[in-house]
Amino acid sequence: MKTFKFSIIVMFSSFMFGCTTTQAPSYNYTEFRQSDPLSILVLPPINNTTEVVAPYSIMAQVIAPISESGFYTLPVALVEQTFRNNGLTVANDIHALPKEKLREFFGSDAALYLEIREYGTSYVIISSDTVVSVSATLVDL
Amino acid sequence: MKLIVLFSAVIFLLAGCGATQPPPLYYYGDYPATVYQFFKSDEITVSEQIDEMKQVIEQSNNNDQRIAPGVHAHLGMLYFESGNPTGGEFHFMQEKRLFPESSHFIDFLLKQHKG
Repeated sequence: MKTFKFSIIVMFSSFMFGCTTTQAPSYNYTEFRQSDPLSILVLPPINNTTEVVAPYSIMAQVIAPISESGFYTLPVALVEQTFRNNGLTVANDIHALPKEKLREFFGSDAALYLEIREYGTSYVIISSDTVVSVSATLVDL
Repeated sequence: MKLIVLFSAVIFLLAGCGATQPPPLYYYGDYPATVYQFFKSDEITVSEQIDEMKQVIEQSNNNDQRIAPGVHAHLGMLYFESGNPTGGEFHFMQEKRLFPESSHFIDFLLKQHKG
């Protein structure tokens, strides 16, 4: 009986632990809510890694999470092509464009500036770690 | 008795964390993968990419799910690239119809292709 009680307690406590989600540090969303953008323009990311394909992969992977959050994501391939047709192939140059120009071309409510910090697998003696880290800034247009 | 209680505890434990996820808003299929291939531009040809995108649209219709934003625009662009402006324009208009937020950008693109 003792073990039985004990197992119930263990069950219950593991149940309580199982569902605690690590709370993200709270962030002030006031300005975001006030601005309430409907469409988001994802600019080609600045790549601070040596991996050439990193921006391609990031651009392809951000579509779904942004769209699922209820925003219209401007088609990333078309955005990139529009820049390329206008002679802009370097992400740093694109990020430096005046906001009025972006608005004029794309007509979106906000722009997402991405910067890739880490991309790929690093090998540390016996184990390997695959890490992708990206910093992002959402700016009203 | 002991077993039943334990068993139900396990079930409870497993069920507790299976938070009910809302169904996705849109159907994406291979759209992100095709975008990646488009950027890499050395693995598959434009006409193969067109076929993939057509498949995404077909699958979304079959699943009765709304097509993800950008799919029609992306397919339209591929049509323009392959020298089929009629197909390109048709899918650009589809994008505009489904997502009015895109109209500014789509109009800009159509003007470029015409001019």
